[in-house]
Amino acid sequence: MGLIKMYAAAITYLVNGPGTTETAEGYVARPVRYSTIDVNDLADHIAADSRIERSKIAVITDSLIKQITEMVLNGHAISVPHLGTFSPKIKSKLAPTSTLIDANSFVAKVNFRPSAELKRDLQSTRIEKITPATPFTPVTAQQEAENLAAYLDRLAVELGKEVYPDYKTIQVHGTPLAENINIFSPLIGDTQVVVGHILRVDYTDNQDVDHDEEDVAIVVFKAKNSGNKFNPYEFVNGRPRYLANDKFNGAYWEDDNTVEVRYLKIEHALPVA
Amino acid sequence: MPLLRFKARQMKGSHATSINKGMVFAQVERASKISTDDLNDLIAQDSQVERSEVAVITDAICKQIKELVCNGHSIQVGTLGTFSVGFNAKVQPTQDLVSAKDVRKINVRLYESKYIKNELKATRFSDGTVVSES
Repeated sequence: MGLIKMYAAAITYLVNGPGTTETAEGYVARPVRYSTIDVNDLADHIAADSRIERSKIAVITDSLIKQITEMVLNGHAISVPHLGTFSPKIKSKLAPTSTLIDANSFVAKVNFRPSAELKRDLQSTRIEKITPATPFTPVTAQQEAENLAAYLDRLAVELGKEVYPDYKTIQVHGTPLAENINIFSPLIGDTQVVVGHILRVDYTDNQDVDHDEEDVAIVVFKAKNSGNKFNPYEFVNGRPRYLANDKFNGAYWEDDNTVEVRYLKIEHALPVA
Repeated sequence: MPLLRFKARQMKGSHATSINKGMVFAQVERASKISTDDLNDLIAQDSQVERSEVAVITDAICKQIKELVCNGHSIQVGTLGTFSVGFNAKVQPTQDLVSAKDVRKINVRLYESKYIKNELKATRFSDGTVVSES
């Protein structure tokens, strides 16, 4: 059985659903996303758990993704074990007759329909609420950027040198933060600092909202370099993961001077370009 | 450049309201449905790995993705996109009132990658057989 941690997120919602303008403020449960795992991490994980050669896993993973992508782009529906079915879909405007359908207005998308197995596993997943160590006060993206800059300033004083000379140009909501989890991870002495982690928006009650808008969270990790390359995935699956999530929403944690975690959460960030 | 065939379908059943009833919309006409076996054949052909091994490894990869998703991780699946979980949950007036019981449903979503979004933007559409359901 899986375990997903959740937190209460502040939202503004339409009182009487779409098409109305009256709004209200409230709180909803949102999942805490521990990390974004890429295909390399995935291959490492499978290789560690099985006797399958890592190189073969990597080749098959690449081919699997390639086949799904190509097939979907060419109009096929493709069934993937344990996960579900991928297929192309189009968003179109309603028309009074079939001859008046305007293909120029179509937007093509990938439809993912979870398998019965995945749905069943998700429904049996345990959900646990985390309580922020300090009350979370929503702040603007600008304030968060200033907080981040101030934090890195303090870190620079502590370490005796600038953590990242250009950090003040960090865009808290913009292209540089899109897609990747590690925006930069400079190694200073024995300390590895990782800045940047994207949490995608969870439009709780409206699945039809365009997903181009994203909530952005910036995470600053400071961890002693153990001699190996700092790996957020290992980090996430080790003890700090839970500490990080326990201290979600702007909290600060320090233990044995080995790991320091800080979350800077931005609510309703501007759309990522 | 991708080419998708579409067909016209009429609004009916639970989706139809007094406003949109009888209106038509476009739906993709699927070229075919590719089963897990077909998928393994394609991967074996593409990767030059033995078919029996492909089936085992594909199964392990997909199972791993499923388990990670069920444990709250986001999985970035190359050119395809990112899987992550979302909640359909009840809104509460205060932070303290929010609990796990408010979660009506856990969804798993695929957020398309930039690559696939760009490819889809370039899609051409061709009119397939017009199917009326009325």
